[in-house]
Parts: sequence; C-alpha cells; structure tokens
Amino acid sequence: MVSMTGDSADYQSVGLGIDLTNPKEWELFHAFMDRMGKIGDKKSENASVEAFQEAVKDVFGDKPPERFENMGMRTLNAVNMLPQLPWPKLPMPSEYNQVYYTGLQLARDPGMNIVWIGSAILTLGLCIMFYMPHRKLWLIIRPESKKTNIILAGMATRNPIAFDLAFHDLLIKLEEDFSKI
Amino acid sequence: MTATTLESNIWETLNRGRWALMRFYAYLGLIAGISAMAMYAPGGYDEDAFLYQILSMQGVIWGGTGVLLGCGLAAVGSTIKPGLLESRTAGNIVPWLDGGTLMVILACIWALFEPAQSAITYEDQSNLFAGRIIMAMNVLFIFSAIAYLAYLFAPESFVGRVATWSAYAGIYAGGSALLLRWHESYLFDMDIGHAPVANLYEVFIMLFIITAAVYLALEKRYHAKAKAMGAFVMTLVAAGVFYGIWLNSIGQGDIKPLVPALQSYWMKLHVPMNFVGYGAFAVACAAGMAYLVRHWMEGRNGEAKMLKIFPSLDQLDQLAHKSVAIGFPAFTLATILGAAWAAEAWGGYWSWDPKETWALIVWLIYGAYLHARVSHGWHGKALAWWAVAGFLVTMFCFLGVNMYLSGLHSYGRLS
Repeated sequence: MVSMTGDSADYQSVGLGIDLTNPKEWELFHAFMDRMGKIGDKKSENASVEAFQEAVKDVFGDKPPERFENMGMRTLNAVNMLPQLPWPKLPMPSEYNQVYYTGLQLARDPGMNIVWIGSAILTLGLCIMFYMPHRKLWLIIRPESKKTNIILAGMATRNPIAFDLAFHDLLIKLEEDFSKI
Repeated sequence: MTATTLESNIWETLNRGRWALMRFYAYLGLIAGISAMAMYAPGGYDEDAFLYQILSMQGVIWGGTGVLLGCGLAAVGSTIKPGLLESRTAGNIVPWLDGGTLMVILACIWALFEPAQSAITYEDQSNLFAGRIIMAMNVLFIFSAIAYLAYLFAPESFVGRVATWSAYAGIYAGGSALLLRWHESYLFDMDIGHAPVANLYEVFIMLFIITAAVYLALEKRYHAKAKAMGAFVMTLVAAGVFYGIWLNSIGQGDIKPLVPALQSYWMKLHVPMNFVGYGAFAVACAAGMAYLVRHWMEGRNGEAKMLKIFPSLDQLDQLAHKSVAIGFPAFTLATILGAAWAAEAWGGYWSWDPKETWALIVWLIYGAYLHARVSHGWHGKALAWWAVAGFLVTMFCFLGVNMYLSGLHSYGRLS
C-alpha cells in the first residue's frame, strides 16, 4: 500500500505484479533486489542488466526454466517500479494464511513463602532502623554534703536531631518539676 | 462555655479512649472480614463485581461479623488491660478511617443523582455525575491554593481557615467522586466495571487527595504553624489539577474497559499504596521548597514580614522528614506488593522493566535521605534540596516513564 499524498489516511494499494504462486519468482525478485542493493551508486543501464543476470544465476544456476521471459519481465517491472513510488509505503501481502499461536510460560516457585517472610523482615528492619529510637538516658543522683547533685545525660546513635529536641523537652520538664519541690 | 470548646470536647471524646479504640477495632474487623470474604467465602472474589459483593448481603454478613468481633475484642482487651485505652495509635488512625467512611456515604448520596439507565452510554460519558463532582474538586483545590497563597501575604486566621476547609472539601469531593466512578463503571456493563485506579486521570485525582490529606494531617498536628507550607503543597496540587483538566479535555478521563493484565485484586492494593508514597513525597518536596524559600529570605533580609508566619527552619526540616517517613514505608510495601503481583502475572518478581527500575531509583533516593538523616545526622539545606530533587525523580517515575519509555507498565500511558 502506498500513500500518494504522504498522508496516513490516504493509503492505496499498488500491486507489484509478480506471481506469488510460484515460489521461484518470489526468490528471483529477492535475489534481484539483493543484487541491485550491492551495485550501490553505479546506476547505469548496464549495471542493472548485469545485476539481473547475476540474480538469475543465483536462483536458477546456469539453466533458466522454460517460459522464463514472462517471469523475468514481471520481476524487472516490479523492481523498476518500487523506487518510483512516493513514500510512505507499507508492504502488504494480499493473500496469506494466518497462522495463530499461543505462547505459554510456566513458573513454579516453591520458595514463595520464603520471599514473603524475607519481605516482612525487610519491612520490619526498615521500621526498626528508621523509626525506633535508639537512645540511652542516665539520671545520676548523688548526695553531696547537704545538697543533692543530679545529672541527666543521654546518648543517641540514631536520629540525633530528634533526640536533641526530646532531650531538651525532658530537661525542661525536669527543671519545672524540681522547682515545684 | 463557648461553642468551639464544646465542639472540640466532643471531638476529644470521640477520638480518644474507649470510643476511639472501639471504632478502631471495628474498622480493623471490617477490613479483616472483607478480606476473609475475598479469600474464603463460597463465591470467593469476583473480579467483575467486587464492589457489589462488598455491598451485597454476603458482604454485610462477613464485614458485620468482622465489626462485631473487632468490637468484642476491643471491649475484652480494654477490660483486661486498661492501658490500651491510652494508646495513641487508635486515636491517630481512626480519623482517617472515619474520613473514608464519610466518602463512602457521600458517594452513596451522589449515586442518587445519576442519570437514568437508558441515558447512560459508553460513547458519551459526559452526563455522568462523577464528572461534575470532580469539577467541583478542581475548583475547590485551586481555590484552596489561592487562599493559602493569600494567607502568605495576608495572614488573617479567617483566610487560613478558608484555605484549610476548602482543601478538606476538595478531598471529600475527590474521594467520593472516585468511589462513584467505581459504581459508574458498572453502569455500562458489568464486564467493564473496575476499581477507579486504572488510568492516569483516576490516579491523578488520587494523588491530589493523598497529597492534600497528608499535608492536612501534618497541619493539624502542628496547628497553624505549618500553614505557610500549605501554599507550596496546594500549588503543586493545583498545577496537577490543571494537568487533570487537560487530560479530561483530550478524552483521557473516560472510563474504559480494563486490559486483562490488570484484572486482579493486586491492582486495588498496589496502586493506592504507591500513591500514598508519591503523595507523601510531594508534601516533603513542598516542605523542602518552603525551607529553601525561608532560607533565602533570611539571607536576603532577616526582617521580611512573611517570615513571621513561616514555620522555623527546624520545623520545616522536621515536616519534610515526617512526610518522607510516612511515604517511605508505603512505597516499600507498594514495591513488594508489585513484586508479588509480578510473580503471579508475569512469572517473575523483578524484570527490570523501566517502571521497576525507576521505582528502585526513587526507593534508593528516599532510603538514602532517611539514612543520611537518621544515621549521619544530616539536616538543613542539603536535605531540603534532596527532598525537592527526589520529588522530581518521583515525578519522572510516575509520568515520564509512562510517557517516554515503554515496557510492561505501558497501560499507564496516554492512549
């Protein structure tokens, strides 16, 4: 199919004109396309003819079959026509046998429960790591002649910022409570 | 006694002690009952009509049994161990579940306004009622963003209250509209019906709701101190709202049948959980931006008026950390649930699909954020930038991967 105006809504079908019931003809078409591709920029009349002869040799060896002329003409015409068509074009077989297939994939996973347990431990570990406070607090009360010396000390290995706040709050509460006595 | 204190006393009673504990366990029982129905009931889990299974007699029996068992457990537990009544978990979580219940009730009310069955067609979905509620949500969120921005320049408590309440109204409108969409998807055909977390438009609405809800929870906790941050959060949400309106305008807001790969109960767990993560990261980004703005203003002119209503740098730092701390475990769980789903649907836990790879990047970024903060005591400007940059990566994981990369998660793309 080819779009004459380049618009995607405007596709029309254009036949290649080759006889696809004969697999040899299809092979010849391909071989010729192949040879044409190899000659590259030397686009002289001679080069194309040589390419065609090479293609015939590729497909049939040294003895072309009977009634080869028609087949050869059709192939030549088809290959000549292709570069003259405007872009974009879509190659579409007009008649084909659709072959259906189903791909099945099986997976068996006896370790699934272990994966579940692992996931649970991972989540639990994250929570312990990031959300549980790891803190130590010391309150040392030491009598000193007539007074009592009280020392509040603390240490945190994780989340020191939150600990600073909590420790500060605790200290203030302690001071308030002691001032009431 | 004035009306406000009376009102707050009722709230205090309802959200604390015996009442909160009973409700908390009743909700837990309800969730357990419905899950048990999906797993063990004779009809089992019906992918094509799970919503109605919950609302049918079967759902009422299983859920109701769960509720009764939960209440009983709470009553027995609190008698044996009165210390349970002091637990803060129940009081903290119950308001969220109450909000969910209110959304369900609202959705049931909206369902009464649906057009007649004969007027509903798959080809033209514009007459469905959820569309109007979503439009109301759009207006409310944009209004809320404007009010929060106005609060920055005119810090009247009235403006702040209007901003907060319109954000709440937007959340309830959005949540009930999503639930209503779940019901509407069944109105075309029972085969089309699915949970409203299937396309970009629906998850966007969910992202707004969760972002705003996480922010409002923090605002409630820190009282008015956090309010200046709302300008940043709700601006992000309002920007998203415009994107959502655009999505709807190009026909992406329509309800479409679900591709077979998504017809699974995992979708109802994996997708919302992911968006709890994304929403919390959005709030962290807003806190980071507020931090940077305050830092910049302090450096330029220490006496700007706006600084008075901004939370202090330390508070903003804490708020960003709190949001990441909410989002990270949700995101971790979502990834694990996704892996479990992948194992079931695609035959492998992890296939280095672009979405999976980017989710891992996001997870590592926020994991590193928490690690730097908790184990190495980083804080301040570096982490504020980190939160902002992390959210940009999150957004690429959410939108960029859908729009520019292909892969197994390709159903999230625009069609």
